[in-house]
Amino acid sequence: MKQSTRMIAGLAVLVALALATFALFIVPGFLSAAEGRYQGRPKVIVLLKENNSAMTFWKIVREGAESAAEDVNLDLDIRGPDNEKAVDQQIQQLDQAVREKPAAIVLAATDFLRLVPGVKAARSAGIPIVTMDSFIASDDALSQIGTDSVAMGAEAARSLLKFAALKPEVAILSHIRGSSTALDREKGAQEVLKGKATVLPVVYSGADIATAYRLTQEILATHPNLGGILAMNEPTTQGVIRALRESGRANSIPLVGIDQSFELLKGLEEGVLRSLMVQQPFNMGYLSVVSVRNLLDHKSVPRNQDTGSIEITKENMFLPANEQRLFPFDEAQPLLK
Amino acid sequence: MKPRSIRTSLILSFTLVVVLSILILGLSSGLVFQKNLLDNNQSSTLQLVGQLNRVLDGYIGYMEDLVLVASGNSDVRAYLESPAEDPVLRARVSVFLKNLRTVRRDIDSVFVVRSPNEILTSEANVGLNPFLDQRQLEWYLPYLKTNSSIAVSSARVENLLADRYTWVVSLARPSPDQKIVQVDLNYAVIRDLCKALQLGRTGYVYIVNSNGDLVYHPRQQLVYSKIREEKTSEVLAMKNGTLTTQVGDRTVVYTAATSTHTGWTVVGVSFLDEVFSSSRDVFTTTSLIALGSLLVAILLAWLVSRRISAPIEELRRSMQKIETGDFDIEISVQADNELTQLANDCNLAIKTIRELMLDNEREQENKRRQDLLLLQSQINPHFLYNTLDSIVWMCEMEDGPGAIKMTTALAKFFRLGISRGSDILTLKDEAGHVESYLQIQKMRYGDKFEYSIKIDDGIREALMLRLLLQPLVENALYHGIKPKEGPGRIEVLGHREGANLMLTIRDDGVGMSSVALERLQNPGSQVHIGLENVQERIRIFYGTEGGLEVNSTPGKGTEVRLTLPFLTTELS
Repeated sequence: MKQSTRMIAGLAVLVALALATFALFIVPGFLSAAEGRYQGRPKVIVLLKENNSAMTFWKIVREGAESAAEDVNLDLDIRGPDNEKAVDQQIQQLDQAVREKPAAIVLAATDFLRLVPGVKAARSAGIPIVTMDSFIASDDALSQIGTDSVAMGAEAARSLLKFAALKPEVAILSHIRGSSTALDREKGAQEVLKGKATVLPVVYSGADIATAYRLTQEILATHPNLGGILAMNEPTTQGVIRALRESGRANSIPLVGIDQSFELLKGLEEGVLRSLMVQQPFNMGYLSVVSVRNLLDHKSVPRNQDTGSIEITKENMFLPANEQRLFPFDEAQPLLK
Repeated sequence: MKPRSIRTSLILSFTLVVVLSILILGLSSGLVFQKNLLDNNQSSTLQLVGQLNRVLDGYIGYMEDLVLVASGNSDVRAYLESPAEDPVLRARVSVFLKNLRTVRRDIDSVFVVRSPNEILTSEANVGLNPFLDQRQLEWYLPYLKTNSSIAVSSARVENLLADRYTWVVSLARPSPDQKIVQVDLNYAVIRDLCKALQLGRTGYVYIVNSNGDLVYHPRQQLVYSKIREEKTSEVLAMKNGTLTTQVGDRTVVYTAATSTHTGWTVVGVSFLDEVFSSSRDVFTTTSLIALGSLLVAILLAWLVSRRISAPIEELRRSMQKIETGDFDIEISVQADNELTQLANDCNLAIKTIRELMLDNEREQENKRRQDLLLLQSQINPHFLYNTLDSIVWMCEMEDGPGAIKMTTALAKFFRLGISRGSDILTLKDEAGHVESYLQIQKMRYGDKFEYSIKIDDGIREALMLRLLLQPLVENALYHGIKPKEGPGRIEVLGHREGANLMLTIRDDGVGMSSVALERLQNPGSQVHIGLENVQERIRIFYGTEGGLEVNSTPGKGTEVRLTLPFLTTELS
């Protein structure tokens, strides 16, 4: 009898000891594991089309992506080739990224066809991948986040028709021959202009300011009745602005550009550029990263996400909503510190 | 309901109590904890937001003073008021503006506007924007308030300067003829102030002015693109306080403080799931502890119940043995509590039952023996031979009536004496039996004795154990009257005394000495089998309720008194 009482007392002590151990080791372990959920943020590699923050567009994309990473708790590693034409470099970078086995990849493809194998490799390595801004000729990207380029091209053409005379002769300066954005923007513009304007054969600047400038000069010289120019991306628009300003024919030749930069905004204020179709790069960057988070959380993500485009004119460029889109905060100068 | 073992019931109820108390305790403390967390969070957010509001008020107030200083400057006033632009004043004001600008680093630029074409700036080296739109100068119109001469913009892009777009908050003091003194604050100041305020992991602070324009929002682009929704109109309607609402799939707590000075509303946005994320950790910890205690409780229940139910089980097994009639057991219980006592009591009870059963067996044996003795005494062969001799003799003497009388009495005597019917008969029958006996003896002994039987009226139907009187009467005759010289007398009396039936057999024979009387009452003496037999049968049948008393005086006679409970048919 005495023995069984002693046994129960012993058991109670054992249980108390077990509970104490539990409290000492398991609970803090559990808590730190819970914190770890916040500390160990999954790494996502973002491959931009170019990674030298010269282009405002990519600067804002980056800003959007970084904001989202903060909001949805991801670690971003932003990379990209030196310029938009360095396709081989981007292919290499994608292969490298796949080898590093990140949680996910966001890709702004420099080429519609040549990045497909890299994306397939990512998928077969089990890495979720989404494309942003410029897409690829494959269904392997789980989502495409970007501007509906056909719609944007159409909008640009409609805007041009507003400023141009009836049945104008219109030059289209596109950027990179064969790139998906060039193809789609042209397609949208051509559909709108069909029958309403005489469209000159499309020329390609190769997304180079100097080339665009030279091409514009040639067109201006050979087409005295030119009644409008569509410039299909930012450096191209810059080159056209320069040539048009110098020609002094800006009043009779309305120019509509695509994408944004300091130079283009000055062009708008100056009046050489009548309107500008801007994408929403912040939203593009933001939604890409949010989509990646949703994929990682096994939530459904729409296959196509149109971030839309907006027509900016001298009149509306300083409206609060547009100011936000056009003039990124310069983070480089914190004052109170 | 299905019967459950004590053990199962114990474990179940133990577990139930523990689970319920843990649940109630956990839930209530969890709720209290969450509520406290929410309250603390709300009050601290309210404090933070109010603080930011006061900082901004102080800051904007200071800048307003600066605008007043600038517009009150005599050179500036003279410059603005002179009908034509004065180059001397122009130079002096430019220097003044440049100096003013250097007062604080957070001033982006200072402007004095005479007309759209006559603008002086602190940034003279930068130059003015050649493509300036007149409308851009009139930004302040929506911000003019009746109670203040100074307009304060929300966040805006300043484009007065050439090749420079900067984010500023502008303060302007326009005169009625649209001459303006304007100070641009670097927007980064306000942005940094707001950014420094983190509410939870992703909570934030934003500022909206009375027109509903965002002064600061960490994700302004998303708000303008409607990717992020803010309940700004509801917050503005509330002005100060806390609003909890559902935005998308998250519950958002808006905490607002509105400045009467600037009209800006500082809005703290925190997410309920983040407020509760720490409570979730507490919850998981609590649940783990609860789980642990539950396991311990079940273990304890198991042990304790075994301590209780094992002895009970042992008791039950023993009782089952007893049911089958096995009383030769000893219950041994390994417990240190009441159950041991119970087992001991049971053992005692079993022992008593065992003894009682033995007693009963002995008693039955005794009764059988007494009955046999009685039977023997009834068919005493001497008595039978003698009686039959007497009958023969009467027949020889041709005493027909005597022989008939005696034979009849003998038959009656035997019918009652050796019939193996009920043990109980009426007093009337018992008396009849005794009378038959006495008749027979009287005929044999003639004048040797007289007898009388006097039974009170009304008690003749009383019930009694049979054959109590005849052995005593036989004793009286053989041991009292027969040794006496001369005739004797035997009396049998019956009457009722309260609840008792009193029967007395009295003789006036030789009597007994006290020594003989004592020997008589010593059982097993074998002297007077009749008396002992009667006594024993009374004891067996009536227990303590019946009694036999012998009084005797040598030479005078003997009296035997039977005291029996008075029984009738109705009672039995």
